[in-house]
Amino acid sequence: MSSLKKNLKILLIPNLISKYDLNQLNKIKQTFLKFEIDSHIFNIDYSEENLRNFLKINKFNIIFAVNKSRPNWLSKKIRFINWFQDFYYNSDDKLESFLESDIVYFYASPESFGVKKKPKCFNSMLYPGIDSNQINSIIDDFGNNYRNIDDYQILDFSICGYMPAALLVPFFELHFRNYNYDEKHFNDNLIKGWFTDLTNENEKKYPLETYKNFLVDLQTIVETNYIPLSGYLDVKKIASKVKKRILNMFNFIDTKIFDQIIPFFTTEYSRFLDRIELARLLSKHSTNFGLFGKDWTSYSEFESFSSDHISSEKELFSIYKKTKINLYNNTHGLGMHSKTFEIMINGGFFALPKSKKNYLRGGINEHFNENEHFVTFSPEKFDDLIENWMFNTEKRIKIGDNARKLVVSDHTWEKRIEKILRDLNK
Amino acid sequence: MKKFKFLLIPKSNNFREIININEISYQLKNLGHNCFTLKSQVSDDNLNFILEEEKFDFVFRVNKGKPKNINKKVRFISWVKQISDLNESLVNFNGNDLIYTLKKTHNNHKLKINQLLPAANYFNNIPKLEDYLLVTDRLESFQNIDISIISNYSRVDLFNGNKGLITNSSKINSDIHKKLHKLLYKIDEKYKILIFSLVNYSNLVINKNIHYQGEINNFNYFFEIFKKSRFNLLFEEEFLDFNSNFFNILLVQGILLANKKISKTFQNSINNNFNVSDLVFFFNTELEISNIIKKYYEDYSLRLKIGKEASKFVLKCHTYKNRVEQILKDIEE
Repeated sequence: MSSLKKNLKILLIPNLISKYDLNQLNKIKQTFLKFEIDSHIFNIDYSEENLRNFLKINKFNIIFAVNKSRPNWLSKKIRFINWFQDFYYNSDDKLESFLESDIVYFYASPESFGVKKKPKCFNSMLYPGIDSNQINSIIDDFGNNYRNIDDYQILDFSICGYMPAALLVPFFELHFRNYNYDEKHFNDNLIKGWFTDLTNENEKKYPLETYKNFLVDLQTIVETNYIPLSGYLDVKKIASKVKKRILNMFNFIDTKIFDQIIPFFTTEYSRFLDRIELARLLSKHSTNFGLFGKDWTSYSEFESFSSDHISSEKELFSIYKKTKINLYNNTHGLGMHSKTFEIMINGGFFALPKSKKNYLRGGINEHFNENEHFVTFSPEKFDDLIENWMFNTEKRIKIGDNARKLVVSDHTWEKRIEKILRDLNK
Repeated sequence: MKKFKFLLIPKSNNFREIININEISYQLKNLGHNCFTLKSQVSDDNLNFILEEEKFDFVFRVNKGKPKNINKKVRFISWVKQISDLNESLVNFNGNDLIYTLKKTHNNHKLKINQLLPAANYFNNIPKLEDYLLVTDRLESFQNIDISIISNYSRVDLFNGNKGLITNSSKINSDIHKKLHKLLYKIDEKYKILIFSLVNYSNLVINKNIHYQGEINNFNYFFEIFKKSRFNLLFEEEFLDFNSNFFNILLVQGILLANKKISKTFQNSINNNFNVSDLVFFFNTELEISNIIKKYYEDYSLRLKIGKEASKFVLKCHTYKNRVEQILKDIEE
């Protein structure tokens, strides 16, 4: 491995130029450095053209990218590693681009992602890691003084994640879906604008109420094909229904509006169904919870319980520690997620919905044991979660501490980089 | 029993409506049925689209009727306030369908029409009034609200999609508040009355000790108010609404004052030998309200005794588990 390491120069390409994505790649870069491997983050907007120009003046022998296909012009000398953190309805096409010497990683298992094609190259699972340095757990801070911990944990529950208050998501009270579609609505101009400006210029035009009806049909496709908090999202099934509905009404599907609408309804909408379901379970059972993420504050029902997106890692980690029960959900039943490791490294108590998916690859049970490192709940019996855990601080802290120890030993970025280097040697 | 696939459609996306319809969904799932719950109301066209695309055994739709041309294999359940709400859509129902009403209906139709009441949002660890006796033996200091009233009207009931007031429902709402103020004017002004409502009608106040508090936006907080109030006056005056607080007040051992007309709701409904009039203070006139408050204001132990019995009554007969049992029984008949 040492000879391999000496020659490596890796280009890291993020999914998007966002703080979250860049932060993750920065951790990877820092860890490569510990292995004396030089890497560089491609921190300009990705396009094949931009990459091509960049590679004309910069030499790399490996590209490590997130959610990208291998460009067909790329020199065969450069090995391409792609990490599918998301797998969209059309991502199968990307799998055909890889060469035998490349590597494809999946964040969730190919079964959960609904991967239909097998890449020619080696493929495996890759989970994010955690940087365990200088992160104190609750026990580090308080020892076994459970009374003090109880006082410190001021929130009963927390959920971290974005919740849009936009018109594609019908959760705010004045959403047009609550009214007759021929009634005037404050979003009318926006809807009209979308279907005028973002569809093909030769596209057939309809009355406004037809567009509203169409958008609600798309919402109900997801609502009748995905049970919130089940972890059983079938992206392709939903995509085929969404596309069928679009083609039923429009002649041109390859347009700006559908480029945005199709991924939204096939992948993101179900996430928001999960989150609103959880938040309303909390509303029923508690007056002491926190919802952290962009736009929760726009909902009057959650106004007193929400805060905007937390960009500081320190602040976010302090919320995990100050919360008695940290709730988590994933539409693919993915438990080996960065959020899982972040909560656990802080010794936070971690709860996720019961699902058969938890036992599949990428599910939480792949590396952690229920009631030893985490707990599960069912929405139908949410009160059991409260009864069993809310009032037993010692048990909660013990479970959080068990999880932290396992994360420190097995789920650091070092472990992940070791795996990548091993895979490169195969 | 055969396991069915249900589609549940709420009245609106308001959190109270959604939490309530989820209660039905969770109870059905606990019994092994498959359930999909929409996140808001849909148009008839949307519903037709859903039923063309997906197979369901039952559609349970709140506050709306059955669209035309629905696949005959799909059995339809509509839950409306009163039968007149269904208007023209009544002709779309058949003998396999079910219509539930909140208001008791004299059934002179060939259709299956039953009363279905809302229910209590019970959960295992819900703190009741008596639990506070473990913390404090002075209920009088815990119950720091004399009388409270919580409006059932949400934004979606009162405002149109263009953020303007809906004239008709706004008028009804203001009339209800006027009536409430009239009912309360004989109450001694030493008693503090809190009204929780989206719209502030302070300008209509007769009794000067009425204070508007704004709307309650957290479901669990309703329970806190019910417990912290010595008396909870029901917002409805004739029959219970979909999001009525009636059963939740009793569930947590709160004391409920309700218009006598509401008691008709319980005639012939399953009450398992409980006499509802022993558990709820029904009144006819403003003088009666005033007298009830005077008489029981200081009597904590009697109020708690009544509250405990009322809670038993709700747990036995008026949870969503009871309602789902009723629905499943009705669809089997």
